Amino acid sequence: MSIQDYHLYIKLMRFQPKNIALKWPIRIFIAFVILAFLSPFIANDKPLVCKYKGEWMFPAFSFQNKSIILANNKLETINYNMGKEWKLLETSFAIFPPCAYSPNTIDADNAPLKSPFEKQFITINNSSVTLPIKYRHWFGTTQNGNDVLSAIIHGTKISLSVGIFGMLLASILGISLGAIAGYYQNNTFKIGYFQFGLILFSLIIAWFYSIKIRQDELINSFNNGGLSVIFQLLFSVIIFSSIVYLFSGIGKKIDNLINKNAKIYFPFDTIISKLIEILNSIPVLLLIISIAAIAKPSYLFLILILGFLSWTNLARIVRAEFIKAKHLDYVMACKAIGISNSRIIIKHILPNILPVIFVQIVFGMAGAVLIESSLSFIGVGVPLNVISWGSLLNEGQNSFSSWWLIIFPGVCVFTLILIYNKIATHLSKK
Amino acid sequence: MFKYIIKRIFWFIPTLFFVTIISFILLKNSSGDAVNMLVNTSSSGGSANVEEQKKYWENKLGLNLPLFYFSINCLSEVNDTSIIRNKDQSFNIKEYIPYFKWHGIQNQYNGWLFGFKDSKGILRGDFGISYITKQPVISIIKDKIGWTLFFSILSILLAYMISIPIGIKLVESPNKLSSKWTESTLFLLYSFPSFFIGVLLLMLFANPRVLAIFPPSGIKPIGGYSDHATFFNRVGESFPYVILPLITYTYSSIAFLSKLTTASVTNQLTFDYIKTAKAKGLTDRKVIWKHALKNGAIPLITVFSSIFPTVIGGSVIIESIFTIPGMGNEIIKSIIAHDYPIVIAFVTLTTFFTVISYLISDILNALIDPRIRI
Repeated sequence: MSIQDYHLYIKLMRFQPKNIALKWPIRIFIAFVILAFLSPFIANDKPLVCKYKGEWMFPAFSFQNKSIILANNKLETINYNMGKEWKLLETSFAIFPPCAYSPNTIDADNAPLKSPFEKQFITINNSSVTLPIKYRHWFGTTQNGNDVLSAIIHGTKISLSVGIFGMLLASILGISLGAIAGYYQNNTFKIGYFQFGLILFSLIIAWFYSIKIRQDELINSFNNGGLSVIFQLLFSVIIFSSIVYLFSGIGKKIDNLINKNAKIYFPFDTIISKLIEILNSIPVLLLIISIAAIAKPSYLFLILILGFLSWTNLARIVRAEFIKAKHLDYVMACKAIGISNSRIIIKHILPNILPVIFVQIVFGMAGAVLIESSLSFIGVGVPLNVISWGSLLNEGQNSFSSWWLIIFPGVCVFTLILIYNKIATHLSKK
Repeated sequence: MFKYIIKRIFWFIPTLFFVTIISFILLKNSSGDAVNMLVNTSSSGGSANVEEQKKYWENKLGLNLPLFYFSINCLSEVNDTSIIRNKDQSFNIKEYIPYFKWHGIQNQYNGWLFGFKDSKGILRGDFGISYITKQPVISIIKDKIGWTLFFSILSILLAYMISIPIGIKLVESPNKLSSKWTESTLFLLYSFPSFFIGVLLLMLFANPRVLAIFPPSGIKPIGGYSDHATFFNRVGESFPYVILPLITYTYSSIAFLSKLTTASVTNQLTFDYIKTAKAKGLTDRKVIWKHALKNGAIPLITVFSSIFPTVIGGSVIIESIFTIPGMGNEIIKSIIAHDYPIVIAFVTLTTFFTVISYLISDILNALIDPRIRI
């Protein structure tokens, strides 16, 4: 949106149905979070507790994935990753999770597209019998025989975390850049000629030391995935910023030696506004598709891309708020008693505009969920072995008669986006 | 005014530079070696021929040139021909000393932008050739963009035509029960993901088990149009194919635009000139339609330049659902085939058009509202 009119934005936020309370959206959101956290114990093919040949086991809670038991004076190794075999194991006592399948477990007996209402079978001793109610596929199965309910429960994790962590990164970028652009604008922050020149020069040096030299490590960490990516990226960022800081310090010293008064204004506002304008004119979905197609598909990378591309809206709002706040009395008072600029920004203005920021972040989370599910729907940029809401819908697209592959994941995506929008609009009303 | 336009156009240049840099980085980092792909697809005759072909393509595409106007390398890499460093080597100070080298305009970026040997450069509309079919990318885009533009422009126009009356209805009678229902419906529609709506529509209205009113995929009859069909016949034949995609393209813009209309017109109603108009004795209807809407329409027009990239981006998903032979479908095909020049070219072109439409809308806004020019 290229509308600079802030009042219009507020009006736009306020316009929504008023009589639905926020109670239910919050409850559903908490339910989603609980599902995401407890998904290994709600949908898992390993039993929670079982007694096999006189030994008690807790396979769903185990990290080792195997146990060695003593039965009939013989040591027997039980591998916990036996998938469907758990249901055939002759246990004297077993409690399975409410949904007794993992998303990747393949149930060949109910393989091609079993409807939730159809009769489901299990093969015991080469004879097909009706599936007991506790093992039932409540939401049907996919083409390969994966359980849909389990895939949906585990998909909650993906959708929630992409939205939350992506927007966490975006909000760090958006709030800091927006605050700098709005508070300093083009006519507040003075900088000496040497300092300015050395900062520009140091960008190249910093790029060399933080990215160019470390590119092997960075690429390796991206290929390995996991937390090492974050660690390596943080390390690069620290090197980059410390080099820039060092050079700006040297520049400041030189400026003080030569001429203290020869200074120019640093055009924060122009630079950041132009950056926002440029990023806004790139179709985000297309850009994400092309970046994600080029890189090795992983959710961590998707979160990073989302974070680096979706900070613009937040930054625009924060900038507008800061421009407004800059001329208010309390900021003037802060300046008059000599509080430093950075303290005014962080301690005084930021807490005052937090509600507005929060609204924008929640809207952004809805957008991130939409983008993640769209990408997994078209199967680009997400790991293909992970079943998520979007990939279930993609499977449903190929056979319309299997309505359970369309309705259930679709309603989940819709509900999550709806409650995000609902919470955001409600918060902005206050 | 003239000064403002000059200033605005001057800012266009760094924007262009930044956008092309992003596209160029993407193009150069795309996986799959361009030369290998070009050679593999062509008819190969012996290994010597392959080497020759490789050299030919390298020369033709200028891949042996430096990437950018300058390069910064480690001092240890400068004299070595191989870039791979020996990992077992003990600490080498040369690896930590930057070496700056100026290459001049004989580089890949410059050639890509302004033309090089055979190619004319992207600024003159030459985006190189497809790795798979070896056709010029721009001709592929020209072939395919028709349906995408047709759907996106038609859907935006349709959305404006539907949402402005809805928005104004909501302003006129905000407390009626029907308005409240409309508001709730719009809110729900706004949260619907487009792929869900698309698949749901197909499942309900193009499914022999439920209702087979519309054809499930494509844009024209499977056998093609009949031989002597006139233009109107063709339109008639394609009509049922267009309905469902058009709904999917349009619904979310309707929700967004009617929200915006209501907000903008309500905002206008607080101004004094509305009181004057009412004092003159005009009816409410006339006040809203003739006075408030005219002034409130400015943000509606500006927002066009931001809806457009969203709609084009959405086309990737919608066209893959309805198998429309447009650009969005082509992009997914190219990504699967690792044919990146098409993808990058389309992203770059869309961004160009959006930047230009921002430029135009800013200038138009400045013409309408003199306060912006300052």
